[in-house]
Amino acid sequence: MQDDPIGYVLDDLLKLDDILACMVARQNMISVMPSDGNNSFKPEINQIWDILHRAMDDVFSVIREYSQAGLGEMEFRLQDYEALFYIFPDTENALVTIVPALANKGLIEVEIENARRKIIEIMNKQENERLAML
Amino acid sequence: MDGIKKNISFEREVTRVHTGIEELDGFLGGGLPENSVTLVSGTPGSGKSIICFHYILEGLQNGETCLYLTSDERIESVIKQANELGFNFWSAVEKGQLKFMYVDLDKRSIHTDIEDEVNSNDYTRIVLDSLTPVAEVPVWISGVHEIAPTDHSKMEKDMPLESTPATRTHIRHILNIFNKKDCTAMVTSEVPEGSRSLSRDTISEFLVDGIIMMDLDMTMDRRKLTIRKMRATKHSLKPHDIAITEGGIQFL
Repeated sequence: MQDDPIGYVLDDLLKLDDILACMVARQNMISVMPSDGNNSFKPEINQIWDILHRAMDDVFSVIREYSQAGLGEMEFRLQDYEALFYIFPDTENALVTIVPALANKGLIEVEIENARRKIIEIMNKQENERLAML
Repeated sequence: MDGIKKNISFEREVTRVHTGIEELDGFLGGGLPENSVTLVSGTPGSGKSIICFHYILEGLQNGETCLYLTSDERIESVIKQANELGFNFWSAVEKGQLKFMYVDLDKRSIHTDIEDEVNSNDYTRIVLDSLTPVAEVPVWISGVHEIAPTDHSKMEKDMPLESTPATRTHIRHILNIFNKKDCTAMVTSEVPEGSRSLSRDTISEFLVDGIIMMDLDMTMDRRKLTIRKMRATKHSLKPHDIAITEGGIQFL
């Protein structure tokens, strides 16, 4: 999708060395990808993408169940990678990032949290624009 | 040997039927294969019916005769919904180029009604919107050619109502009605939220020639269209971003 402000936030996140892939997703659907789609994911992710994607869908079943109860973050480790889920409050959606299992997550988590906040801001702005048009 | 090669290359030359959405035709190598049945499945509100509107309108613009079978909504409601999106079907209905038929699920003659209508005219495009309630009609099956919704049957012991063979036979029977004629059909199927299945009945996806999957993310206000399967067609499995505008489906 061209000119997608959320896509640009993902682009910026993907510039960090330890972020191998990132997306806004929900169960069975990747809603927003970086502007170059999965072409911009770091190549090493391709070899485990299928299993990772399936595991992500299973995590989204849990997110769906507990998001309304205040579930904020989830993560799992699969082989040499970790998938971090930063859930958008009260929704079934999350900002998902794939990082190396041995990455220093301190800095990364700050960046991911900032990205989540930016995306929530964009979502609210877009929602207000839609409401104003009605 | 040459003869075999000739036959193979002949089979590969598939006539394409435009869907009415230029970009989708592009992804399908020109359109749907002629004489095929394509399943359009997705969650409620994902745009299944709108794809059907495009498909029918394209046929009407080509001077074809089209049939729209609706089982979910009344005819007036479908036409009104289409009209709101810029698809004006009234004139085609008045000219007899397009027929809307409400599939009454309470009638015993549901299958013969559909079959008779399909056979009564040279329809080149048929839409069944949606297959789900039709497929869920309780039926008793006695062989492939005897199928009818009914309360009582001596066949109960032979083929229980909820058995997969009964459901599969039922769905195949419905889809075969569209296969008999020289037409290309599109059927829709509801998929529950969060389901990994490609149709509500989890069977029809194996019986059709093509599957177009529609996804909706209400939170992010994003819609995706994915071609999951299409006979005799090289296609990408990548989801495509779409939007529903006043003119129908638009690829982004």
